[in-house]
Amino acid sequence: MKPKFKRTYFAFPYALLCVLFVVVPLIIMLVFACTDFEGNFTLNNFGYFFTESETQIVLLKSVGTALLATVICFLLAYPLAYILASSPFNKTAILVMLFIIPMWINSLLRIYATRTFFEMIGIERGYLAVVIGLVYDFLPFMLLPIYTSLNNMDKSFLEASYDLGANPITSFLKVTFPLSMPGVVSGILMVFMPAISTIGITEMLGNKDVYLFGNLINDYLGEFYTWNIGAAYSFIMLILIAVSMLVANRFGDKESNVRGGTI
Amino acid sequence: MNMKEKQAVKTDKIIEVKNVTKIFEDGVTVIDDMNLSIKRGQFVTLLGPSGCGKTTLLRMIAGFDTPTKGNIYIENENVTNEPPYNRPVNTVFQKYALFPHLNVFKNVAFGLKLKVLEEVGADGKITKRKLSKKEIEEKVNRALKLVDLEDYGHRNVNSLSGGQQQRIAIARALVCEPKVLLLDEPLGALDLKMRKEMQIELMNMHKNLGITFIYVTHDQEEALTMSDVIVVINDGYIQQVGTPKKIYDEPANAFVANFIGESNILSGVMLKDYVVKFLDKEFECLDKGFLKNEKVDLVIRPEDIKVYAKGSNKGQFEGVVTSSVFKGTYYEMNILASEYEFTVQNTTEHKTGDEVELKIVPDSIHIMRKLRTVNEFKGVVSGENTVSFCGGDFEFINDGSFEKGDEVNVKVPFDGIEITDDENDGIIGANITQALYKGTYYQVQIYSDTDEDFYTDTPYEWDIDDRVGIKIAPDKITLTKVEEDVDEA
Repeated sequence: MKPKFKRTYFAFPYALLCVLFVVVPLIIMLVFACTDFEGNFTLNNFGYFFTESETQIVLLKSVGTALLATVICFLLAYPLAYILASSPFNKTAILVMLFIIPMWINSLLRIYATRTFFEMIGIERGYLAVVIGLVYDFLPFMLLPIYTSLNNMDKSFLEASYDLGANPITSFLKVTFPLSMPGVVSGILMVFMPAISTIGITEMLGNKDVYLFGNLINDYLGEFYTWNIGAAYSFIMLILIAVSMLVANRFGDKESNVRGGTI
Repeated sequence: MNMKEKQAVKTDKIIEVKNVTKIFEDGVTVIDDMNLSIKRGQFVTLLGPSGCGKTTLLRMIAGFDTPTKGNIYIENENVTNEPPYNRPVNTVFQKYALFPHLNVFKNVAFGLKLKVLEEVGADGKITKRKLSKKEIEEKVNRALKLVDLEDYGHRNVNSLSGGQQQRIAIARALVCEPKVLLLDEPLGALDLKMRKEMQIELMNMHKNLGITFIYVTHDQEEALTMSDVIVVINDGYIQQVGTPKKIYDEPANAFVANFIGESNILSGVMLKDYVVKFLDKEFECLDKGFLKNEKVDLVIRPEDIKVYAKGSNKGQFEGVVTSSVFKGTYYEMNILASEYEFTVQNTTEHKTGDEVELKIVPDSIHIMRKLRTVNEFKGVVSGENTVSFCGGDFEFINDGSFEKGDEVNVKVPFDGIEITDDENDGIIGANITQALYKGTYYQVQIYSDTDEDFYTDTPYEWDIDDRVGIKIAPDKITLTKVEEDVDEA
């Protein structure tokens, strides 16, 4: 008999990679998180988080900072995306490219450049620099999905809105904005999720007062005997990210089931 | 006609398009100096091939596009620069454009929620208010019932079929109670069966609601079925405005004849009244009033050509069948006769290669003028300086060469005929039968009570079927004696 070759076979290399570098490490992490230094099963590592209020505060600060960066990104990106997607500026993709190009550069390089730039213009390392750095770093990730959803929106929806008596402001609030929700949701996720676990930016743009959850985990993992706690905290963050994604996706689904889609 | 009456007539026109030109950014002229008026309550179809400007015209009426030149009036109010949300019209879009983030009910209620009512109270004060939730609910449910989808309010619009979405789009537009409903090829995306059903439903809605419908389509069959008035547009110009029957039976020019239904268009020569020569043969026809030996276009519909077997001696000329296709209820044949290939529809089959005889009866030949500059009539000198033709006595300048009783040919140039608003102001009464837009003026065709056609070039637009009077300035009338005419020929 002729051996059957299925198209799904093409997925095997990726599946292998995924198992090796995602599933296996996750299992290892889980093992570490649920054991103590001597390798005995324990849930104390997670317990630390709930008993140490300092850790909780660091996490809250991380979430707050990520939210702040996300909100600023949204406030900057939405009007920009709206202008870029509107006809006079949409003739060529050059303008859009200008805003997207930073995405292509390695983020570590970008942060280095930002630090040098901040030194040049005299912004001191600290919380403000971290927030500005986060916004600068993640703005394109907010801009692109919003721009895409606005740009792909059928013009006839807006015309229908005008036709039914809605002025431009009402039309924006009742039609354009709700229809761009998929883009907004995926933009928020793409900024919020990496921002919550940021470490490079706080290391390079912050000072000793800026200590976020990413730094905390980094410090735990930096010491051999606290790996187990670090692993547990990583899991907590993972769960947090997964939950926020589920919430956002549900919100995005509810608001719109048109193209654009969430991630 | 006094002022008051005149105004009453004026408001009868719900939409007026005056000298509208639209040039797109890329320099293409889509609409060229167009004039059109639409009567209240009519079902008007803008018909033409794609790219002819019909959709652009509709979009300018809706307010999505602004004319480069000219004005658009809705109920005598210049709305040229009004945005769409300030116009008393609503549109059914080609692809429905239902809001995907709202359910059916909210889609239909969209316009109602924005509506501001002006109410005159008992003290004469005008109060503005929005519709209450209950009123909106009632209206939406009534609109959904109108389109037969009363239980669909909670449904997601994307879960509906094309036909259902179409109905929702119609309900959403109608619920706002527009003065004019604009429909942009609304049935284009539906399959044939659904389209036929929707055509009938739209016609019924139009009949029951009494709202003016302006319907854009490229489907001539749809236009003929549904409309009160068809406006045939091509290349940014109005080719003809008329009832479906008029446009089918008496196309204004070769384009209209070709576009509306299948037709055979030939060139011919009018030998005299009621006789036209084409394919080197003389045929009887019902048209008259042409110049001697005037070159004309003529149109013969495929179903009007009779086909007989060769040797039956029933036909007027012979031909050979070059193809024959069964079309369900008839055979469509191409028949070559004297170098012209006729398209013929007949219920009797004649096979390819058969030699046949063809007959064209007089009333199936429609003659179209190629180009006219002068009106010609036969008349009789009825007095010292009056000539009688078309049922009226017109003054002319007699240089002494004409006597009472002389039979004469009367020539009046197109610009010599004056149309008067009031029938009694003219020498004779007549009806406007056609206003053909010619770029910078209207060529208006007026049909007199004596079955004569008058043509006149006028910058003003006249409504079809309007009763008017005809006046001719004495110096515009040129007479030639019939005998002289014969001598010349």
